[in-house]
Amino acid sequence: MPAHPRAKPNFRNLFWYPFKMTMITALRTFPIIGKRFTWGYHNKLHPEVVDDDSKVRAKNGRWNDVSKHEYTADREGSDLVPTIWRPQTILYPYERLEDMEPWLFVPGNYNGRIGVIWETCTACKLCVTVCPNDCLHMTTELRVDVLDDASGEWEGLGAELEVGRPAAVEIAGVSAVGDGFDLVTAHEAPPEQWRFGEVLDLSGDSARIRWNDSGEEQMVATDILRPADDQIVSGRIDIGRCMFCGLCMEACNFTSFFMTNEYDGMSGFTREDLWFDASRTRVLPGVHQEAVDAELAKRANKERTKREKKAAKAAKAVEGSA
Amino acid sequence: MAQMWITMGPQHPMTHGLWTLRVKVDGETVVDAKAELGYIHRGVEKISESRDFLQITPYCDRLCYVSAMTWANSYIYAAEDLLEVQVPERAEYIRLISAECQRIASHLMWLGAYGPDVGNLTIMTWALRDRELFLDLLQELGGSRMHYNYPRIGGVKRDIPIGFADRLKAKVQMFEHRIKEYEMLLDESTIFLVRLQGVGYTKAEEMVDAGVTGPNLRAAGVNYDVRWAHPYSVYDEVDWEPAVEKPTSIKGADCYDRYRARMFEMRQSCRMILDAIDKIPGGANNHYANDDEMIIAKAPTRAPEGATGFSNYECTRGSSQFYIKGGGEGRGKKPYRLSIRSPMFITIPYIADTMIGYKIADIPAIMGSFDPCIGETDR
Amino acid sequence: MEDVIQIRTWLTTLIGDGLESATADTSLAPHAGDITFFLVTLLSCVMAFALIMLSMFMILWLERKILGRLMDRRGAMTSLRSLWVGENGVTAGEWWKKIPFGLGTPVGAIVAWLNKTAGNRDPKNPTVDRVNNRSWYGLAIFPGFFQNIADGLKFMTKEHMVPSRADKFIFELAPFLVISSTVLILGMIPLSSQIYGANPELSVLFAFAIFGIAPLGVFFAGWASNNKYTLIGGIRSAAQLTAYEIPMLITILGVCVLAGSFNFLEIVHFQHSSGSWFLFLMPLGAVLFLIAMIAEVERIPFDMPEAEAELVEGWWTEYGGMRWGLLFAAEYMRTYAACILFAIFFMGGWHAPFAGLIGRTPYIGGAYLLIPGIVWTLLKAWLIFSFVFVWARAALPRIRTDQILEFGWRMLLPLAFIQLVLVIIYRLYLFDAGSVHDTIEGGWAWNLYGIPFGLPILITVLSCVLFYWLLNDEDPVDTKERMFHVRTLEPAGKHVAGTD
Repeated sequence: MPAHPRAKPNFRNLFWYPFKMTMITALRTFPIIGKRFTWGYHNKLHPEVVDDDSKVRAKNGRWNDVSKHEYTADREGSDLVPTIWRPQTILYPYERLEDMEPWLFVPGNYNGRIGVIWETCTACKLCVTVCPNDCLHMTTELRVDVLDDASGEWEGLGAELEVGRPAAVEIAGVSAVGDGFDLVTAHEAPPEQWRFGEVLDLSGDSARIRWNDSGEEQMVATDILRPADDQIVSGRIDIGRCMFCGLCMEACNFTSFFMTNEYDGMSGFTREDLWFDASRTRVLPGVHQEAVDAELAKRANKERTKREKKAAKAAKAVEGSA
Repeated sequence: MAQMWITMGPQHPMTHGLWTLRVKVDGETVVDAKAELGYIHRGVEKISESRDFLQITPYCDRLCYVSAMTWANSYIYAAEDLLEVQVPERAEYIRLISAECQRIASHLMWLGAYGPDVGNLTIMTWALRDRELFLDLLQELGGSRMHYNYPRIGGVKRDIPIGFADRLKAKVQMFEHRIKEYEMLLDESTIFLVRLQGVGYTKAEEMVDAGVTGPNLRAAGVNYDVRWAHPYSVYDEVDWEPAVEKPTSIKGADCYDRYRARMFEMRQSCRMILDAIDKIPGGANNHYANDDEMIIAKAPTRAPEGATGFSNYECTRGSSQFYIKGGGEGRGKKPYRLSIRSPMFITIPYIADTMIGYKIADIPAIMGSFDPCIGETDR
Repeated sequence: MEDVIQIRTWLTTLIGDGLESATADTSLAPHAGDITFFLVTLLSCVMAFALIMLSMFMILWLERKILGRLMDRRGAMTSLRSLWVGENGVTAGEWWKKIPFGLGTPVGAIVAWLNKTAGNRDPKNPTVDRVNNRSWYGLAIFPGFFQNIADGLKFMTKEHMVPSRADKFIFELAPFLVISSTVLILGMIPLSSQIYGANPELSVLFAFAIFGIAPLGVFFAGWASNNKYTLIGGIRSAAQLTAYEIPMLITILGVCVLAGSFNFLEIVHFQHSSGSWFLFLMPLGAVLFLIAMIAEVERIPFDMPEAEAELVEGWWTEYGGMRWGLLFAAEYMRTYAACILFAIFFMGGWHAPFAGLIGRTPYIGGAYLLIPGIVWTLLKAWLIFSFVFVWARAALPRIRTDQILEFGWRMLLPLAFIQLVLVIIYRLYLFDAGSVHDTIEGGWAWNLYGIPFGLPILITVLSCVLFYWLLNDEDPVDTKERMFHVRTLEPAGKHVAGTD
């Protein structure tokens, strides 16, 4: 391709053209006269850019309703007084890009923060194997199994209290979402819901518990005691090592491993702060709840069928011996 | 004034990366130049010897981070050669689109850095802003703006999202208007021309001897583009031509020619993208699931000992080549040796020689016109 | 014509009378006049410096905003906004809690209320992380004005480092030279006929003699830092500044010849009383002055000495903290001084344009004439700054040093001489000394064969014609194809791999 036809050092190119181009650029940034100098980039609406999916996803905030937006490359097209009201850049943290351009942050397509639903994790360790940087560690944690804490139709299907096994008492006044603690915007992990201890003696409707935190022993009523499990699968992810490649998300067959849409809030002052444990790999409460409920139903049904089978076998054994 | 060595050291606003350029100056004239590399050597080749083929892909993104998609694709072609995988055509088209978007983004980064090198700060904001258009597109495809980990052995990670085709076409057409404006600001500016023309002459024969490839070579009139001479993927099915620029001076290609070659190459990439999105098999508005055979083919994970794979790929800065030998750890799950030929590693010593005879003030003009990226140089 | 606000006269009267009555019977009585002069000068120096320094914030703000628009970025800045509108009560640190004695609590309450009423948290679409909430989508207040104060505070708190093998005395001396010469000039430049620091008879000569000290300071800085970069930067800078002093001084000589005096006040008065601004009498000189001034203050396109692409910061690389801050401020002070000088030399200083014509209109005229002179001076200076200095910075790349020097010596110098010769001709042969009137209407000293104001009109028209002719000199569409151009003629698909 030949050189640009006007590419010659001369007086016009020295004074006029560069000044003219920058002047046009400056004039384009003003609302009304800007439209005269548009050649297809500035101040031009591109409604085809906002697809239907995005409109649906973004139809919530009254200020950031993308379905009412008309997309322009300089994000200026849809407002009355764009120079004052809407600057060109996204005013993070007052605005967020996922509201303005939701097609960029389709869940599952964006390599954001790791989120794990540990209740549904089966500890198959495929994610650990596939991580190129060796940043996932499976551990176990002392927690109350979801089935043990269930109420309603799934009550009673969990484990039983045993001597020598841990147990937990719910701490009064704390629940996951309540008491002004907002799981969504909290800066720390939620407060501990359970107080753990070891069952020393089990008799009737009270048990003797040795608390883990203080070591002292106490008699506790059985109906507020829940069996706890210290082999519940949990893990840690070193965000400092993670390169957000997404291979772990692809490896997980049990849809417990996500890369969420979040790109901020992962900072810390020390390297240890960047070890994300179960509380910091939490996902949206709605998503979490759905998955946990599904898992709960699955385990409850499994337990139910197991008990039915056992009962049937016992009945058959009784019949057989009778 | 006596001759002295100046170290444009690793910490310098201009050097486009982390390397040292030591120049010996006599007054303002450069009489000798030495390049010192290695500050960003991360041992990617060695690391790859203990990673599965799937796990190496994110590392290849980080070789040249400005142009990540092309490097990931380059590795994937070598791995597919090694493991003998046939890639479905839709995946090839998607790879082409992603590579060309990345090429435009990389050239815009070059332009945005080159402008301030010669003093024009305005082009920096313009170029980086238009780069956002393409970075957004690549974010939709790959999940992040810089290290996508998008291609897979046998295809790509996921299909193009719904609505992507419309956005792609709108943005590429917007960008074509913008290229005109860049030319109005730069080509029609005497000072820019006076800084670039007549500076940094490079002869075609010398470059071919030195092994320089890419737009630097095409600016001197040599019609060598790997996509044209040894077409891979579907480059022989889309409508484009290589950006060759025959220089006017017998002394060779100056900085202005290299600048024009890249501008024209951006235009050709736009053309390629628009053509490919029209021709993509399966339709541009369909979205296939992640495991669908339209976008990925099943690939073996082990390579026996003695198998080799090679790819010659046109990266933004030249021809990048990967050579993989199979039969490594894990009974062939990992490569025995992965060797990377980086175009900039070959070019940078040549650049150092180009600078001799010009003034200190020409150093950033020459340096920037070759578009160095030290990430791929040092690997 | 004298300015509307007669500050200096008023001050002199006030202080003079006061001192006279105060020292009437003391031994200081015969010196009352001298003390008055001393006090008046002191106060007017303070006033002049304060006005210039404070109005300099306007320059910095103008540059940033206009540069933003020219570079295709715009929008409100939110620097102050982040202080009181935050996400759910959490801003970048809850700064109001740190105010002692709990005085910050009402601020916290206001922030909370704002977020509750005008925040746009949508509970249906939350995300889970630490600093995350949508917040008030509101107006920005004070767009960017306090940035410079923040910069100044930053400079004051940074460390002062001296390189170990630097020539310490000269290293410390150099910024002092640059700053002091710059500030001295600011004292000489009058902002109106009454607001100035000092007004000797040959003030122009004095001012530009001081202006010329700066290259010395620059060279000292470059040498004494014991750094090859600064040495190169200092040498380049000294060469450039010296090279552009000459055309600048010759242009100013032309201005002074035209005005018949070396005094700032006289030059400005002359423009008014002879009837025409010098911009129209010597447009070539105006352009030369602007170009020379852009080179003198080392702005793009002439900022090779501090070109960050090669020399990091050039001759001021090694300076940290307030020394760098002062050098940076000195560059802007010199720019500001250049703009005000342009307004004084070529645009009639503090005189309102068309004062006679507009002054005669019934109601507006009176108000028009009451606008203080300093307002006019500053407006003109800001106008020139925005449309010349900032625009050139956005539009043009940097010129290489040898090209700068070549341009200065080979092109500007002959043009400056030509302008000088022309000015001498105007003054000697085309000037009507009898028609110089010091009234509101001004005079008509440049008539040409009976056409009122004929000479400036003729010169302006001729200059425009010349400019237009130069712009269109070359063939606009001269697409000489480059020789031996290679273009592939076959479309893709027909091409066989491996062949050319």
